[in-house]
Formats: sequence, C-alpha cells, structure tokens
Amino acid sequence: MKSGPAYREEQVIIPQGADWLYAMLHAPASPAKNLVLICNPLFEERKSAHRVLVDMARSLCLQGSAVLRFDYRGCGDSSGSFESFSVRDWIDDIRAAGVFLKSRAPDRHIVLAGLRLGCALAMQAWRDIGAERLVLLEPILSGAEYLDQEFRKSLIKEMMTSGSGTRTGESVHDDLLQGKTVDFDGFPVSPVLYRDMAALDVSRHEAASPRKVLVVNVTSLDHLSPKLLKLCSSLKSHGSDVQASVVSEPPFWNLVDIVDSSNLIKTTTDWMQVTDEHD
Amino acid sequence: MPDRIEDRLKRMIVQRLFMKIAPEKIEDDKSLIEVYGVDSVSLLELVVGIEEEFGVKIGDKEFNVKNFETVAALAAFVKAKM
Repeated sequence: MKSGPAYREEQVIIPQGADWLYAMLHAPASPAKNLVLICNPLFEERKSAHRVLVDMARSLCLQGSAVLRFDYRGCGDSSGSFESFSVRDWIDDIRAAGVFLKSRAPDRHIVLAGLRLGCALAMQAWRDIGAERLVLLEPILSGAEYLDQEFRKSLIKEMMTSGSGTRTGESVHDDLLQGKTVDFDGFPVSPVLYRDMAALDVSRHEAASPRKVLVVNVTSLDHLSPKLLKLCSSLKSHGSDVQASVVSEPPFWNLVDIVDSSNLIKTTTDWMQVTDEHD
Repeated sequence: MPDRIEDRLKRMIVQRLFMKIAPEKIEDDKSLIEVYGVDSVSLLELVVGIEEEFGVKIGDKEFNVKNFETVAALAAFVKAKM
C-alpha cells in the first residue's frame, strides 16, 4: 500500500468465478464523495492508455472520488488467457468490480468511466451497477467498425514491414467461419469474441440512460464527430443530461510516446466537480 | 483556384498527426515515413482522414507502401479513386 499526501493506493484482487481480477483502488484520505469505476480499452490500447488512466484516477481521487481501475479477465494483470473470454465475460467483470467498489462505500453512488471500447462495455453494464453518471471518453460506438479498424492496423503493420498487407477482411471472415482463431495485432480473437464484439452497437442501447453523461471526443478536429453528435442526441432523447466536449489531443491509446493528456483529464474532473455540486 | 489535392493532403497530415510543421513545408516527393516520421499508428489516422476528407474507401488490397510513400504518391492514389 502506498500513501500519498491526500490519497492512498491499494492493490486489490477481486474473485471472479474460477478467476480473479487485478485492480487498483485509489482512495482519498477523507470519505469519498463518489465512486468511479474505470472501464479500460482493449487490445494494445489498454497498454498505451495505461499512464493516462492512472493520471486520470489520481486526479479524480484528489478531488474526492474513490477510483477503481481493474483489468478484465485475460487482460493485463488479471488471471486467465485472453482467448478464453468474450464481451459478456468482460461486462460481468465490470459488474463484479462495481460490486466490490460499492461495498467500500455503500451510500455513495457509482460513476462509470469508459475509454474507447470500455465505453461500449460500460453502456451494457451501467444499469446493473446502478451507475448514475457515465463518462464516455472517445467512445467506440460499433464493435464491427472497431474490429475493422483493428484489422486495418494489422494490415498497415504488415505493409510497413513487408511492403503490402497479405490478408483481406474476407480471408479473416473465412477463417473465423471455419472456427479458427485469428490474430489481431498480436491478440488471439476467437470466433466467439469476434461475433460478440461485432454485435456491440451503442446506437442500439436500451431506452433508459444514466442521469448524467459526459461524452468526450479526442480529436485533431475542432468539432464533435457526426457519430458522437448522434449519440448525444439519442442519450438526451432518453432523458440524460449530456455534456459533449471536444479535446484536441493526439490519440494516446494508439501511441507509445508519453502524451500530455491534461486537457482530457481536466475536462473530466471539471465535469465531475460540476455534476457533484448539482447532485 | 481549387486546392491541389497535394495541399489538402498536407493540411490533413499536419492536423491529424499533430505535426509541428507548416503544411507547405512538406515536400511532395519526400518519404512520409523516413523524412516526416509517419509510423504505422499515424498511417491509420491518415487512412481514416483520407476516407473522410475525400469520400473514398481504401480496400484491403490497396494497403501497399507505394501508395503511402510520399504526398505525391498519396495524391495519385486518391485521384485514381475519386
């Protein structure tokens, strides 16, 4: 356990069936104002985004939130092998992490904060956890489009090393239909995982939405993307109080360099503070 | 006078890749990879940018380094698709 001036950090193991989730709890020195559960991105994005999410957690903690970061089964420091799990398992992991976090302060409400595909998973789990607020950082809205993008990343890497890509989307689909596991940027994607991920579609979210939602578009452009505009509109039509923000920063979830994500962190902590005050 | 595709590409490259260089300083025939440091991650951003900016779709079989080598090569590739 490590103590800082105004918070402490505690490694936690959360039992999850035959496996366990590795988690880090950032707890403020004084009683927590609220509880924040961070839902990681997947694949290589999880590694690249690590430091930003640690900084985010610490900043939120300094503001009075108890924050839990955790790894899904088969990912990061949690048990199990990646190819053994799928989307529904990871949604269950969010629920389990939420139950743990809530047990630390049962009278505090939970905020789910997702990054990239973590947003799509969070949107499947928020109701079961009873989350009242949702933070969606550069949300992936379509699992199918995300898989396409991951596949393209592989093609580009192949192209950079050998001049051209050798696979096609069609050949990948054929392999999956034959029950083969395919490689996506070093990660084994089983037919089950591919199917479940391709079925993720945030635009088809259920009628109810959390009370308050922050949607952040991390982009080089100066306006919200059309897809996120549509998401915000849909959330509002279901009764959510939505704040949409554009943060001009590089896509840190794709980079190995250290990226200054202070604007993203400030946007998130400011929203948390304002929505705390109005609760 | 309408923008050259090369100039639109340069502006897009600088903006999307957060490059600290004026677009007009990027030379048409210099290697994007070796001279301007464009890597595989940047290329994915570039691909998305090209598709959005020019309304084209880059097929799996078109991921060939010769199409992305220089601004000139990229422009020729995009023009052929438009």
